[in-house]
Amino acid sequence: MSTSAPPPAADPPSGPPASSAATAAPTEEPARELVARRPRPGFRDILKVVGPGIITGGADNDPAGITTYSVVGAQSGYSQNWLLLLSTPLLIVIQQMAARVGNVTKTDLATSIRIHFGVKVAAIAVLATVIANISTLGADLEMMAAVTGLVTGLKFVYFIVPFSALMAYITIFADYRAFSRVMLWLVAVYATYIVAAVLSHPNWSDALTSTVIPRITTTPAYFLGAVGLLGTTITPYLFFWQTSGEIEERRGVQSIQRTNLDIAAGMVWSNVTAFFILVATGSVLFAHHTTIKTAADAAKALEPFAGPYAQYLFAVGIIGAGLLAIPVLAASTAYSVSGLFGWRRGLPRVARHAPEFYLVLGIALLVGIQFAVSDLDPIKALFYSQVLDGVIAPVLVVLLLLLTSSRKVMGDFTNHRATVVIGWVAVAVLVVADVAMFYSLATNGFPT
Amino acid sequence: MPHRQPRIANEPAVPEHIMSWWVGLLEGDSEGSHPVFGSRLQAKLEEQTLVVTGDLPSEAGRRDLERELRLVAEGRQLQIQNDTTVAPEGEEEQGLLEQTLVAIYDEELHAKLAVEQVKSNPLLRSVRLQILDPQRFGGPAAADGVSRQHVAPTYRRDVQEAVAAGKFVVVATVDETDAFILRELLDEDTRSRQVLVMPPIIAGSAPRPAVATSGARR
Repeated sequence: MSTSAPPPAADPPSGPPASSAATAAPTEEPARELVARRPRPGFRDILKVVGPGIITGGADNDPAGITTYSVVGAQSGYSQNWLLLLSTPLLIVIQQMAARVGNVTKTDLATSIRIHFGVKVAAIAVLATVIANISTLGADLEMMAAVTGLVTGLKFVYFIVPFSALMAYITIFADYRAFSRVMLWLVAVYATYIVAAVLSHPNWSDALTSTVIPRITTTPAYFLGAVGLLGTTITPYLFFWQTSGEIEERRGVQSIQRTNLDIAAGMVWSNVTAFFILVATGSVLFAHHTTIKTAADAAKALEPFAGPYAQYLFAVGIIGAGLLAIPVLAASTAYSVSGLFGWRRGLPRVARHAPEFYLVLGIALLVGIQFAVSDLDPIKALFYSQVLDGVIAPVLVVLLLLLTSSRKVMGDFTNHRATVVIGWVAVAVLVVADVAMFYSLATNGFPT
Repeated sequence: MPHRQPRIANEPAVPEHIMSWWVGLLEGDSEGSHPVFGSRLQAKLEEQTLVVTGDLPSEAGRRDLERELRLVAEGRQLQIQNDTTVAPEGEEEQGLLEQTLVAIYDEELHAKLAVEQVKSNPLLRSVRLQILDPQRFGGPAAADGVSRQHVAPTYRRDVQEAVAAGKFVVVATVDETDAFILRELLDEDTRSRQVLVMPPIIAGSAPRPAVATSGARR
């Protein structure tokens, strides 16, 4: 397998060319081809994989994601739709790379980074991810409380600790994966954005044209929206979660095909939902010059479908998405820190067998609570947490690319050339968006 | 108190640490989940009945569990209610690929304990093991010779440096489908300094250790 990415420092500078076996005969086929010759999944196998993948993809739209898409749609209309189309293949490839790290190395992403790039690089990557995770966690928690306050009329702060306690219980003491299969159905509420988008009578010609033809406005708001949209789509905590998921499910290299299908289905569905959120908010809010300042504003996009019940529907979706996403954020934080220090880790382990893992998980929730009870505006907190994701994502993507392009790490399961190209395109898109954002902010200041 | 294990003829003994776990459970002093099946197995004592539920990864695992329960019940007024099912973890084919892991230890004792844990784990179907001892293999030429026999080219420098630095290196090769269990055991359940996981290769194409210490059970 040829690679165009520079090898990581851990590769030996000279010596015999790396091969997958110390004594492999020249005529022996690569392990990857042997695996590829196994029976391809049939239609039923595809359904078994795609069904859960679609459901999981729906869950990828956490409260931060829903809010970010809503803010972008309300402030920019359809002009950022093209970024969603562009980011879809990038996201699929990146998540597939993250999964393959687990399939091949049998270890989590933080550990792989530590072993192959050193403790310092791993510490920086983990620290950046932890900061982004906890800010997203806190913002998600705040939004869940805010929508509950909206529909009950009570102060949102009363709901923060009960929600946190519930999620701590589910993650630490109960079987999160069984719980998530139930909660995923709450997230199906977001499919109503599709109906809402249609019922809002958008200018479909404009919406679809904007999806395939880039329209760039050189304003700070536009670039902040672009980085936020990219950050909520290509989100670093999902890289760690994806790798750890492969390990928990014990999916080796023979599962790569199925995993790839699962990821593709999930990410496509996730971005299809996001597209309709952009269209619905573009039609309902942008067209009437309504910006999103509160949870009630964000819920308005569902009014074409749900009328006066839009707030309740929105609240159900946000609560369901939060109940799914916050344990993932906390666990992803715990996986990455535990992998950095080499501690026992994993949700299947009881707390007594992995005390440091669960301690980090608990601390992540506690810090998130602190964040949520602060005076921060929940809409801004959610949006800017995704902008932060967009800033750190390129660093993680580069590390992923280098890992998965290394024959030392991946053997015969290194990246195809197309994967390398798409991966570096993702890095370029993220970096250009980040640089444009910082430059625009430096010259024009923050938007009001 | 050590648990005496009455043996059925030709039946392998159950490892001491597993029997200790069962005894601890019966005495209300259990330490977490089953040492082999982990959180897949749930067990609790209801009056005089030991109720065991969960799903096991293989028929062989089920036979092992039945052997353990038989021994636990011996000499005690204890009923066993075994409601476990066999739910294989995936559709991956065994015997297709294999994977080598290198675990580095500071102390010889830790390396030897790790080897014992690997050999006694019934979920690791066939393991080729070798300990690289710095006293026997500490010289550069000797270490290089040994690592050429056991380790893929891209990892030889790591292994040679570890042995030259006085570390004890365990080299273990298993079926690729079992590599998750092996990695978890070496990386998280033993006191390894570091575990290097070599990429999977076609089964049988890895070099055979000069001293093959196979934990083959099936």
